[in-house]
Parts: sequence; C-alpha cells; structure tokens
Amino acid sequence: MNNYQIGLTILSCVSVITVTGVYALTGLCGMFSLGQAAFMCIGAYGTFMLTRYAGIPLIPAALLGVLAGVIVAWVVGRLTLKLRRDYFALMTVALGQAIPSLVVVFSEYTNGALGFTKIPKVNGLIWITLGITVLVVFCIRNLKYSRYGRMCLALKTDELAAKSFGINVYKLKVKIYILASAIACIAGILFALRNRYIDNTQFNWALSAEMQIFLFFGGSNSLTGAVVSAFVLKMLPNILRNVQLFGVSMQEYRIILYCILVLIILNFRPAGIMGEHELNFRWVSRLTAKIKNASGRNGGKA
Amino acid sequence: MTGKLFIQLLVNGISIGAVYALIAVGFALVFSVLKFSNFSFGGTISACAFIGFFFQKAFNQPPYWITVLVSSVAGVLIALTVDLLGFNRIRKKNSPKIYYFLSSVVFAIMIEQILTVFYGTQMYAFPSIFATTTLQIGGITFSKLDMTILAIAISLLVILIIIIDKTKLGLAIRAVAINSNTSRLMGINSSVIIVLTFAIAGFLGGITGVMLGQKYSVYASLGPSMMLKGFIASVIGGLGSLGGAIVAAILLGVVEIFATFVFGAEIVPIVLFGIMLIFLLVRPQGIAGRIAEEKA
Amino acid sequence: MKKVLALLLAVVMVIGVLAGCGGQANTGGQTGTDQPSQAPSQSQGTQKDLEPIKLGNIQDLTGSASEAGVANAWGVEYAVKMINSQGGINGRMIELYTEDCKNDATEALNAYRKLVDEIGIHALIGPPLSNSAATWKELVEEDQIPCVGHFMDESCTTDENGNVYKYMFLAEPGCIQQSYSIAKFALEKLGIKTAGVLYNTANAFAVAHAKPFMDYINAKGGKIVVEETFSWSDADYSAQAAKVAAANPDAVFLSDYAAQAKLCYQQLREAGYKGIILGANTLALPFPTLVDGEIYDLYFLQNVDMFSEGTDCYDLLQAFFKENPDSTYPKVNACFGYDAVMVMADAMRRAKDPTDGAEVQALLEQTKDVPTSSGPITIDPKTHRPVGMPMYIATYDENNNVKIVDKIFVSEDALK
Repeated sequence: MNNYQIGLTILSCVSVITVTGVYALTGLCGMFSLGQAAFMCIGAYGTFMLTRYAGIPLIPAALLGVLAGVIVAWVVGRLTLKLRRDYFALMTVALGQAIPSLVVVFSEYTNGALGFTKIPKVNGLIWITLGITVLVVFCIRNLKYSRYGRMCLALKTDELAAKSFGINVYKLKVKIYILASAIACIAGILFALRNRYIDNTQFNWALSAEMQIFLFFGGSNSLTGAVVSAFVLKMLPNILRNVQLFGVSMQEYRIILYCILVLIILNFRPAGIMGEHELNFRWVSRLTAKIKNASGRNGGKA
Repeated sequence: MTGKLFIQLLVNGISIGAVYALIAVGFALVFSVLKFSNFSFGGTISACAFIGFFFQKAFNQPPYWITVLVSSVAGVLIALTVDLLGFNRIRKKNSPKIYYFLSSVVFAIMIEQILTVFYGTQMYAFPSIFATTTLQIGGITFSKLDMTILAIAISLLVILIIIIDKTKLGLAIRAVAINSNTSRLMGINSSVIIVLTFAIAGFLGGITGVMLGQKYSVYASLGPSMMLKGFIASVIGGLGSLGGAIVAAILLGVVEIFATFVFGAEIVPIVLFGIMLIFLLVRPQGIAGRIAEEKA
Repeated sequence: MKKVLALLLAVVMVIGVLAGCGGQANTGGQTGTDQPSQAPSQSQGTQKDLEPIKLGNIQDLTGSASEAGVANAWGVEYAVKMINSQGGINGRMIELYTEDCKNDATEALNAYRKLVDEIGIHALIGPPLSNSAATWKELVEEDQIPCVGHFMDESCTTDENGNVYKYMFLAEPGCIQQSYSIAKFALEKLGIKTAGVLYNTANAFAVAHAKPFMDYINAKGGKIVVEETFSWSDADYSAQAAKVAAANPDAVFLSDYAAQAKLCYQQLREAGYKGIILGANTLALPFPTLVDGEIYDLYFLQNVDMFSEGTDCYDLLQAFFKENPDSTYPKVNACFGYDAVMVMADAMRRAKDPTDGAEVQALLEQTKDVPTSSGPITIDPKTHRPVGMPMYIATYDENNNVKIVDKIFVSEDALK
C-alpha cells in the first residue's frame, strides 16, 4: 500500500469510528444528532491547540481534547435531552453551526478560516487508527449486548414503557450522548492527524448528515451494517475518482446516488441493508452449515 | 446608537423576519399534520428559486406575477413529488416517525447536491422583478424590495390563517392535526388532507424561493441556510402553531439584526444557540403555549 | 456502562503507547513510495533523460471555485501544450496530470497524495485558493515536490515567524502587496482620510486582504473607523451596512468573493452609503452583471491589464476565447495557470535534471525576470513571493466596461 491508499484507509476508518458513535446514539437510543461533526471539531482543535500553544505532548493533549468534548456533551446533553426528540435534533443542528463559528471567533489562536496547521506527524498512523477502530467497534458491540444496550433499545421503542420498568431514561440518554460525542472527538483527532490541516468548514452539517446516511444505509439496527457501509461508502468515491458520467465525475454524483439508494432502502426496506442482522460466529457457522447441508435441517433450527 | 439607527435596524429586522415567517409557517403546517420536522423544505425553496430564475431568463422579463405563479406551482409539484417518493410509503406502512425525519433530511441533502452538481455553488443574480430602489422617510431608508416582500408575506399569512380558521378545509386540517385516525372515522379523507397540506407548504416555498432569490440572489444552499432560521422560529413559536411561528420569526429577525450590529456576525450562531437553549428550557411549549403532542 | 468507559480509556492508553513508540520525529521514512521514481533519474542514462517529466496540476475543477479553477486549468494545459510543441524542456516532454480539489481541504489532500504516491509527479502546479494549497505546504518539503501556484495568502509561502516553506512558490503578488496597493491608491490618488472594511471572517482570502489593508491605512495617516464582518452562512448584511453607513467613512473596502461582494455592495448602497467602494480582484468582470442597479465610485484590483492590445496577456486571452467560445469575459485565471507553468519550466530548463525536486527547488529560488503573461517575474528567495510586480487599479465606466486607471508599485515590506 502506498501513502495515498493508506490515507484513504485512515479516512474510511475515521468514518467507521464516527458512524459507530452515531450508531450508539441513533441505532440504540433513537436519538437523532445532526451535530456530531461539531465534536470532531472540538476534539481536533482542542488537542492540537494544546500541543501547539501549551507544548503538551500529543497523548495527554488528546485526552484533554476528548475531555473537552465530553464536557460540552455533558452540558448540552443535560440541558436538551429532557426535551422532545426533534427539539434535541434541532439543538444539535444549531450546535453544529455554533462550534465551527467559535473557531472563527477565536481566529487569533485557531487561525480561523486560514486553516490550522503545524499538526505533529505521527508515524504508523494507520496502525493506531486501525487499532482504535477495532476497539471502538468492539466496545459498542459489547454495549449493545450488555444490560445498557437492552435498556437503550427499550427506551428507543417506547420511552414511557421503559420508564415504567424503572429505567432512568434521561440519565441513560445523557450517558450515551457523552459516549457518542467522545468517540466523535477521537475520530476528529485522527482526522486531523491524517490531514495535518484543519479548518472550520470541514466540520459542517454535511459531514454530520453524511454519518446518518451511512448509518441508515447499512441499517440502523445493525452495527455490522453501519460499520461496513461507513467504510465502503467513504472509500468508493475515491476509487471512482476518475470515472465520468455525462461528462461529470462520478464523485460529484456520489452524494446524490447515496441519497437515492437510501430513499429506496427507506421505502422498501426501512431497516437498512443489514436489517437486524449482525455478523457473528453463529451466523457464519450457520451459513456454512447451510451450504454444506442443502436440505436445510440446520436452517430450521435457527 | 441613535434613535434613528435603532428604528432603521428595527425596520431591517422586521423585513428579514417576514421572510423567516414564511419559511416557519411552511414548516409549522407540515409539522402540525404529520408531527415531524420537514427538512426538505429548504431544498424546495432553493429549487423554486432556480426555477423562477430560469423562467425569468428564458422568457425575457415576463410580468413578475407570472414568475411568482410558475415558481409556486413548481413548489407544489416538488412538494408533492417529495411526499410521493419520500413519505407516502412510510405513512402507508405506519413506520416510526424517525423515518419521516430521515427521509426529509435525505431529500434536503439530495436537492442541494443536484443543484450544486448542475449549477455549482456560485450565486446567480435574479433579474429585478420588483422595484429595487430605496425610499427615504424621515431619515430612515426603506428598501422597496423589502417592503414588497413584507407586504406579500403578511397578506399570504393572513389568507392562510383565514383558510385554516374559517373554512371547512381548515377545519379538516386542524382535525387531522389532532388525530388523523379519528378524523378518518369522522369522514375526513386524511390522506388527501395530508397531501393538500404538503401542497400548501410547497406553494409557500415557491413564493419564498422567488422572493429570497430576488433579495439574496440564487444559489444552491439558499434554502437550507435560511431554513434553519425558519425552523428555529417555528420551534420557538411552538411547533405546529402558525400564529406563534409568525411572531417568533419576526422576533428572530429583529434579534438577529441587533445581535449582528452589537456583537458582530460571527457571534450570531452562538447567540441563536443560546437563545434557543434558554427558550426550550424555560418554555418548551413555545410562545403559543400549545404543547404539540408527540404521536409516537 | 462502566465497562465500556473503562475499555475506552484502555483504548486511549494503548494508542498512547503505540503513538509514543511511533514518535513524532520527522524521519520521512513514510514517503518511500516516491523514492523509486526518483532513483532512476540519478543514473544519468540517455534513455532515462528522454522520459517525460510528470507535472501535477491540482485545480478546483468543480465546487464553488470552479469558475476560476477551470480557467486556471486551461492556462496550465495551454502552457504545457506550447512547451511540448516547442520541443519540451531540454528535449523532454511534460506529461500533465490534472486532479480536482473541489475547494475542499480533504479532497485537496487526497488529490495531492494520489499524484505523489500513485503517479509519482516531479513537480506540482497549485490552485489559486490558499486553503487547498495550505494542506500540502508542509508535505511538499517531505516529498521534495516543488510547487508553484497562485495561493495568494502569505501563510502558504511563509509561516508566522517568517520562515519560508521551502518548496512553495507564489507567482503573483501576495495578499499583503495587493491590499497595500489598493490602500495606497485610495490614500494618495483618491485622497481619502477615513476608511471602513466589510469582510468575510470565514474566508481565508477575505481575511488575508482585510488585515493588511487596515494596517496600511492606519500606518499612512488614514483612519479605519469601522470594521464589520460576516460569514458564509449569512446572506443579509443590512445590520453591518447600517453600521457602515452610520460611520460614513470616505471609502469602504469589500473583501470577499464576487457573490458576497455583490450583496455587500447592494446592501451598502441600499443603506444609504454614497462614498467610495474599494474591492479586491474578485470584483472584476462579471461583477457588474451580478449587481442590480447602477455601479459608481467602485475601484478594484487587477493583476494584469487584460483589455489593452499589445500587453503580454492579451494574446493569451485571445487564445482562451478561441478555445472557450462561450466565455463572455476575460478570465485572469487563464493567465495565472500559464504563468505558473512558465515559472516552473524556467527553473526546470536550468536544471541538470528537471525531475530532481531538490535541484528545481533551489533553481526556483533564483527565478529572475521570467517572461510571463503578467510581465517578468522575479522571486525573492527569502519569501518565495515575486518582487517588483505592479498591481493595476481599475474601475467601471458608465457602460460597465473595465477601465484601468492606475498602476501601483508597492512592496509588501512597505510598512517595515
């Protein structure tokens, strides 16, 4: 793999990480956030302003960057998660606008629209990114099958019923929101390390919306679907970089194509491509058994 | 700040608020009936602005009302298409509300992208269809364009409120807004009413598109950037309440102009975020005070 | 939940260890892929000498800056065609690889990595937008790819301490020189005493113009009485316009791209401001076609005189019109693309091995009086920006035709 391909892989991994965070929020809890890019922004700017101006080494700076995101998520979550779900969605849109404009307000330190550079070079970033990706996905997978995950699913389906079972809906929502935001912060730091250049326009609402599209493409109930679609849909346009259609590069059309695909999925298979399915060992073994034994004896058992 | 400047800013704020009011009402209508926030409305506005622009170019300055009519018809058609492709099946299948929301977000992104791919993100100057000169009264500048927009917005909103409050159709819309299933039992064809609501919102979107295009020139993200303001206004006004949305929109316009004047433009998104946060915490039912019941 | 948090913390720790091992040292070992493409050229085989030079070209072919980017790309292609038809560079042809950066920093970086790692380019022509070029200003040094372009923002060629980015070269006057030029013109020729600025804080181009303009006016006896800003998402500037009109300075400097500048212009006039309006080179044609109503007392910057026959750029623009029949007005960006290739080709001609990035870089620093469509270019090795280039001041006559009114020479060190 050359640097170009490594770079694209890192970018796709960043996409997987953010979408995994959004999965915890939207897929598990049914909360719609259209401002997760703001947390990427907080993570990236927080970390690299610390490394640049305070001379803090990368690792503690990254921890502090994530901490900054967690604090913002805690404050915003505490204030807004008691509200109706679409009020919450609206507030996240506004948050997604407010944070990048803070970058401009503090131009003196963030270099505003001119873009922030002098981001340290990290060797072997691809391995770090892959490691984090695997760990984040693993964590969220465990979360899904934990008691918390079942509580989340209960509150997604019916908040009132969940309350009546003694689940503290509000507290749970705040926790999940903080978790998703911390994950977005980590993704933002990796994104900045890969590009070694950040500016406020990169963290706009299109990025937040893209995460939701990727999630629903794969299936909002399936972590496997979300992860696969986040990786593939991010990678695909760059592979198709020089493919032309009607004299316009395919890359231009990509968002439109994705939108059409998502609309078709929403209309005909609202659960997404993967539906409720997850890739696990039972599933794999069942599949191989099915292939081995065409009579479907094992299929019946499932 | 002198008194004259204060009044000048107030006038500017009200005229920009009138535009927000049109958008907010388009939102509030759909919300009141279907209980979801229709993000695709911004895309409809942009698309209508472009249609009006190309119509105006193609027919070499037809009378302005023809352009307005064409683009409002286009708005109706776009709204109906969006409903057919995006929401119809979801409604039939009784899928969760979140799919409406997602579908509208997808449409919002898609329309903006289609416009961007074909026309780029640059701005196109709308040929003047309304008077663009200014008027000086007592040292205060009134832009004739702003006044025209204000007049059109107010008359449209008045007509709309009369329709909703006084006619049978309005009664049916209000009934469906309260409960579409019960309305069906009462002999109202709910699905027709829902489609009609979309059409009315689309009509408003078409007119808004032309007026925004005229005021700020035509570009792909025209609607979406304005839409957020309309959305905020409809929330502050109390989702689903038309009167509340109008009052909130005008207030929002005035606050925005003063905030820009006092703090500078880059602070405004943060100020708006703060205002919304406080408002939702203190008075989540909105100005109108009616709590929109969540159907889910 | 606690388990999840604990695991996440563990993740961070693991990364910490990993990253710690990786270290932040700039070993440059990662850039191995472009090494092979350079290695053969060092063995001075005759066969190798005739291999084409791979020239990368990253421009905004789509996206919000495509208007300028497409013209720029045309200029680059035209220049490369011309050089090749005249026998190439010391007998070696130039192979051009054009990529689109869509006025998006991430896309720009993808394009850069693709050209360097997949194609193995030897040199790069950059876009006229600084944000894209800023993404690779540190990388070109690691990859030894000399880059010439029109990224006007000084931060693309020198960092905030004045240290030069070794492989980045600008082929037109930088933002500082350009805004000094219009400020000088306003003070000396229009005789203004007070000035205001209205600019987009979210646009690098606008910020990089507005600040030096204010510095110059304040330093040379004028006074900035009002400074107003806006951002991409704003379309209504009536509050800012009202404030400017209330302060009523002798001149207002509008600093942003044409579309926003148009709204600023209109709303300033609507707010009752009747004074002089100054603008950057974005207010050139087709600005008057965007504005409703009359344009008066508007002065703006031009890099070249595109309208008088016999100037260096005139013939080039005629060729541009011939190949792009649907263009209705001359685009200075066509000249920009051409100029950048001319500067690069000049250094390559002087090089023993035009594919050796380090050698070409050293020779680019000695660029002196290279003939281009904007006049001779001489690059200052201390800043990597041209010195001694004039800026033109233009205005619109009653038929909205561009009229050049002055030619300003001012150095970017004028205030030092």
